[in-house]
Amino acid sequence: MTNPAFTEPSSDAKAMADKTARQAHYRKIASTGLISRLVPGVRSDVYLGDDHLLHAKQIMLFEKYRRFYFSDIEAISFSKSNRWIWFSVVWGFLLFCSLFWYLGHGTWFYVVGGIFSFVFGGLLISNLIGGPTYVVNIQTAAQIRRLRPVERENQLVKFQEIVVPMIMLAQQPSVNQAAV
Amino acid sequence: MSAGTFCPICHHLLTASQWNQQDFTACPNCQAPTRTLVFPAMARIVAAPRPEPRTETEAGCFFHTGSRAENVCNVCGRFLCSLCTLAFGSQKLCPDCIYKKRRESPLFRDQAILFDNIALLLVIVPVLCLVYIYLGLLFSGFALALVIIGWRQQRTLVPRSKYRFVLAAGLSLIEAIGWIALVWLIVWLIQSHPTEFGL
Repeated sequence: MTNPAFTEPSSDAKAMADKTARQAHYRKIASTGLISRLVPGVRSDVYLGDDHLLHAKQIMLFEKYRRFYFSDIEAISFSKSNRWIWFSVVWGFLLFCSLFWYLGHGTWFYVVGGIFSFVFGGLLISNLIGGPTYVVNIQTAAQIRRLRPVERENQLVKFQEIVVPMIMLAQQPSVNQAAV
Repeated sequence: MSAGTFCPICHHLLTASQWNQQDFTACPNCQAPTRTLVFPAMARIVAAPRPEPRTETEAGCFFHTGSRAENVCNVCGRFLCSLCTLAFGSQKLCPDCIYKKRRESPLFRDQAILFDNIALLLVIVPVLCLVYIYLGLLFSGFALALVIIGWRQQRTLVPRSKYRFVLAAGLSLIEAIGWIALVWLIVWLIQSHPTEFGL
């Protein structure tokens, strides 16, 4: 008689266990914007794991992962960038151009003008609401990586609030080390 | 210990006086306002592991019996010397376990194939390139096969919705039916008006 404890688990059970092991401990804390979802190779997300950060970057047919263990993170550097101003200028200019459709006399001109104005106006407003942009790098002894998902001010603040205490906690001297 | 921190924009080395400042300071090279949060790991000096010889009363390393065991592998439980201990975050593993688990364990996975994106690509690109007219059924079949395989085999580390699979399956079925209808229409047209087609 076979001991049930030692029977080979079914493929369904294996798949379920694998899925649970893989996905149970990750919580998304930041993501790149809506436009990046439409452009291949730009979308990336940052997830919080038990003892590390996971940076998942989609390159069209693949998803590449980078792990940053809290105990290994040496520095987080960020510089102010003018990207959001340039994007505002571009979206504003395109919004202005789309208003030229209203010079035409006809329902279709108004409809097309309305669609373009809605799209570019929406992008301009979302860019302004997103706020200032930064270039953010995370550094360990082995790698320096750019974290695109946290390059907006509100995302960066939230990211720091979550991650910095966890890094400090992971890097504080343990009781055993302190005793030595 | 790293050489220091670098400006995220120009990658110039920042001075230690710029570390952990409350306000932004200008990068010495590009003048971009920069702030750097430096953590205790920066000051950590990682020395090359030097396993110590074991005495009669001490346990030895599984791989180097003459060296004193300092850790236990979290996966297989073997005793390891400092040379054989490989740290992954809070876990300490032996080289054997890393070799065996490098493909199956999520701990070492560094990429995943996105079957749903490939399937969507196979149903959208042929239509845009007009290849669909000639090879529509083939591409739809491939896409449907990828949906069936990828539904179980897609092993992303992070939660991912299945709606792309459903969308790809729906589109591939529509395209397959559309292609068969198109071929049937062409055959019917040729049979009903053979003279117009030079037959």
